[in-house]
Amino acid sequence: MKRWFPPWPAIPLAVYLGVLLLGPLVALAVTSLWTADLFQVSRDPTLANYQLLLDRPLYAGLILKSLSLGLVVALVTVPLGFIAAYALVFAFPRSSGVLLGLFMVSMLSSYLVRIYAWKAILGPSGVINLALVSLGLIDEPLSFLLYGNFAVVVTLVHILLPLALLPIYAAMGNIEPQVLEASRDLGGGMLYTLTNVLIPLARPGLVAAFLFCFVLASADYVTPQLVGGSDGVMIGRVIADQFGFSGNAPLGAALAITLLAGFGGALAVFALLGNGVGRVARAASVLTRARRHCWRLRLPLLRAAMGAILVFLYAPLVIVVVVSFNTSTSGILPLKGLTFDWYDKLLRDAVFHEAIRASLVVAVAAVVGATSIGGPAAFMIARRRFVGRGALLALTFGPLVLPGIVIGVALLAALGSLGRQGGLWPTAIAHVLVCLPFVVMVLRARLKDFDRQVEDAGRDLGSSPARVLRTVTLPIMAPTIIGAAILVFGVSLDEFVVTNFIIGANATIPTMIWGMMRIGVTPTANALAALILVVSLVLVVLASWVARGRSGRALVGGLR
Amino acid sequence: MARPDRTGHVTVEGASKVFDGTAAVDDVSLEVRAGEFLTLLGPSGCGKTTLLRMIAGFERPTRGRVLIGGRDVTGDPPEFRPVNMVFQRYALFPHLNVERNVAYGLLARGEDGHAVARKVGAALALVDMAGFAHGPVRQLSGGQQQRVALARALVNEPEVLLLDEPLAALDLQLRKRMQVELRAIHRRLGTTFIYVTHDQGEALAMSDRVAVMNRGIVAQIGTPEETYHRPRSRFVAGFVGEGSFVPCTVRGSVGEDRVVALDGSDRTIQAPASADAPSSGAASLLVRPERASITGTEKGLVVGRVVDLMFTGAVRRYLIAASGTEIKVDLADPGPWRVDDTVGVDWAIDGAVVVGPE
Repeated sequence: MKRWFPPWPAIPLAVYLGVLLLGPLVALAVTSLWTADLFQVSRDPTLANYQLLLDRPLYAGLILKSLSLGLVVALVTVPLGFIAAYALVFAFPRSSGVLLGLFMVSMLSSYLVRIYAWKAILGPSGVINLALVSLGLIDEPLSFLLYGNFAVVVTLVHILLPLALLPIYAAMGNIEPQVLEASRDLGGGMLYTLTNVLIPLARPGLVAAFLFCFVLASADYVTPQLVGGSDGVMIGRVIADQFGFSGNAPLGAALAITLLAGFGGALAVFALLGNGVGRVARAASVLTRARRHCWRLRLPLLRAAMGAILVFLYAPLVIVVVVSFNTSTSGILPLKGLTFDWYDKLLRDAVFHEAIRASLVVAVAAVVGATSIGGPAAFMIARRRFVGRGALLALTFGPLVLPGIVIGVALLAALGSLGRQGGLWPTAIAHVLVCLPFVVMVLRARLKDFDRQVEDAGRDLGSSPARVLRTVTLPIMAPTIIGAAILVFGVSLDEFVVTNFIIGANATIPTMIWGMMRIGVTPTANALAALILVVSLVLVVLASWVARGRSGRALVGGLR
Repeated sequence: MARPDRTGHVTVEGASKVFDGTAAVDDVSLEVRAGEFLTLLGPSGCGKTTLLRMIAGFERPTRGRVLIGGRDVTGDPPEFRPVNMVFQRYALFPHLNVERNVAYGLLARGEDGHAVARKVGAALALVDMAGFAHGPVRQLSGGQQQRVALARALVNEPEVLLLDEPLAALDLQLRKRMQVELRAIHRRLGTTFIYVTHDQGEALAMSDRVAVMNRGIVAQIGTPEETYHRPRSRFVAGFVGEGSFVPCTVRGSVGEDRVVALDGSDRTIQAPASADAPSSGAASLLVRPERASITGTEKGLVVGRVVDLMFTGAVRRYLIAASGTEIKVDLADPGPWRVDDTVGVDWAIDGAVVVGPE
């Protein structure tokens, strides 16, 4: 029986998302109707900004370029994620826990550090160039490796691969292995089984992964700035600039709204194309059924692919850790000697101390806020049926699916229209928003396989509902709740894309790294990056230990 | 070297399958005749499913060979074998409707549309599911899914149909009905059926021959009557059918038979023996409940006390404590005996088998 009104524990979540997600988006839309001239904003509504976008093909071209880059990244990342998920679920199920943990560590290790690590690999004095020079293959470092679309694509694939893996893994986990055997038994070859059974059944996960990759890659503004060089200017960077030193927030808002519209259009086109491609692939697959050796080569090939993927995910991180001990002041390779000086210098830096304090304040606020708002709501979403439950769930996923830049500038626009500045508290509020999907996902996944008979047993043995909650439900859920809290803590510590817009005059650890990285590669930044990696690793290990290895699976389960 | 007269014939030669150092199937050799209904029967973990999966091609034997229709298929993947399988939990494709599930194998082979439509229609009619062709498989009941899975396998006209505990998930009434239907379909098509089950009643009722498996080996292969009445080991005697094991001592042999004395009694009995029956010393006498009867104390082979009696519908079952065990006796006509009465238990001369001791 459906209730017409949401149960009260779900109301704070609905209100929070309504006010702090939808509200700022409305503020963004309103702002886009204003005009700015030399930092003077006129609040008379006009479509002038949109007219400007139509008049100058530069902007439309930039949006198109960003969308195509996002498409390329998605087309590379999703198949890689598919291969990794297949290996985890069907080929090496016994090692899936560890492998999934490795992907989680990679996902939670700092976003900025990973971009930065690719600079250390592809850069003029990076690993690849050094190797080529020392082998005598080239005389001068190749500059095209860094500062170009190639570097942007490689870096974004690296960043998005774990995120693409999760929904595909979740979807594949729902496929009965026997169904694949049935296909083979009925004469389906490898390609036939792939196109007719595996891909159709994993489709929801593939679509989600594609959506994540396409949207997040298209709108990324940090990667192009760091490794994109002059031909790597993307729409995200232009939007960020409008809200930054260009000082034309209304134009930036109009660009952000246009970008969202562009996503809508592009996804509609993809949806139409996708069905056609599927039909052609299924028809073509019949012709390939006589490939007798495909299945036999499957395991060695998958093992090699998984190895390559893990090297791809971890090599950059390892390099950052290694160079953080390098005595060279250039901050990159070659290794000259080992030292702890950079750590020493960092740890005595007052700015660093202040950034740690700010990050901790925000992270603790994010943990308390997200668990206390998201937790009760997750119970209601998992257990009750009420009008608007689906809508609330969709809204909860909003902060995950919307590109960070849009959330960031929307919050900034909202602050602007209230006449406020950024700062620590706006940042904390934004982090709660960004972390809510994680809390709801993780708890909901665990609640799905919660045996409610133990609660009935508690009632039957004479406990009141409140006492059952306190003595039965919460103790059983405690590891999951703590695991979710640790995850949120990690996400908040690493959050940069949104924070960058609304941190104001303060600095968190990521915004401090950003400051260092814009100046150039410095050895202290390497040391900081290495420290952050260690913290991420500790958090993931802690979370999976508390949740008894379930946090990864739980997170994944929530995506189903 | 496929010889047409071997079509439907399956040979397993010295096949073993080792998982992590333990042999799930240990040097099994088996001949399945064309058109036969053979059941692999055994407790869970006995290797019956692994053996079936070796025939299907999902497990590669660690040692040994598998021949289907006279052709060595040991190295062939499942999609190249002329067999089809009905999976334990049906494994229907959840994204396809009934008709497309059944058509899957034909389409994978690249058969043309008219032939596919005709064969799918016939297969669905065979399993009485013609009315469900366009429905989604998710909404079907367990029994209906079972029928679709059967049609999906049979439509490909396999030389051998493999069935992995196909009725295990169904309730008792439906299971009984499906047993009858499966036998009817087997008779009609003449396809070789290899059927895996842990339910000995099902195995006896359905099969031409039963291969009783235990710990990776075939303990006995024979007709249902042979495995029931002439078990080759104590394990087979205990696993197939019901019975009581009365402790006894072997006193001597007469041909294949043994002469045994029941514990606590001077009387000797001559009875056929299983392969594991000792030639002297402690043994057990298998007594089937329907071959035993209750008599006066002086006429019985053993004397005991009635412990319990249960009404089971067709018969009344008596549990009688005697000779250090509980003997089950099934009587169609209820006698006057009550709990705690002292009675004699008798059985037909050929109604017992000497098997190994406990």
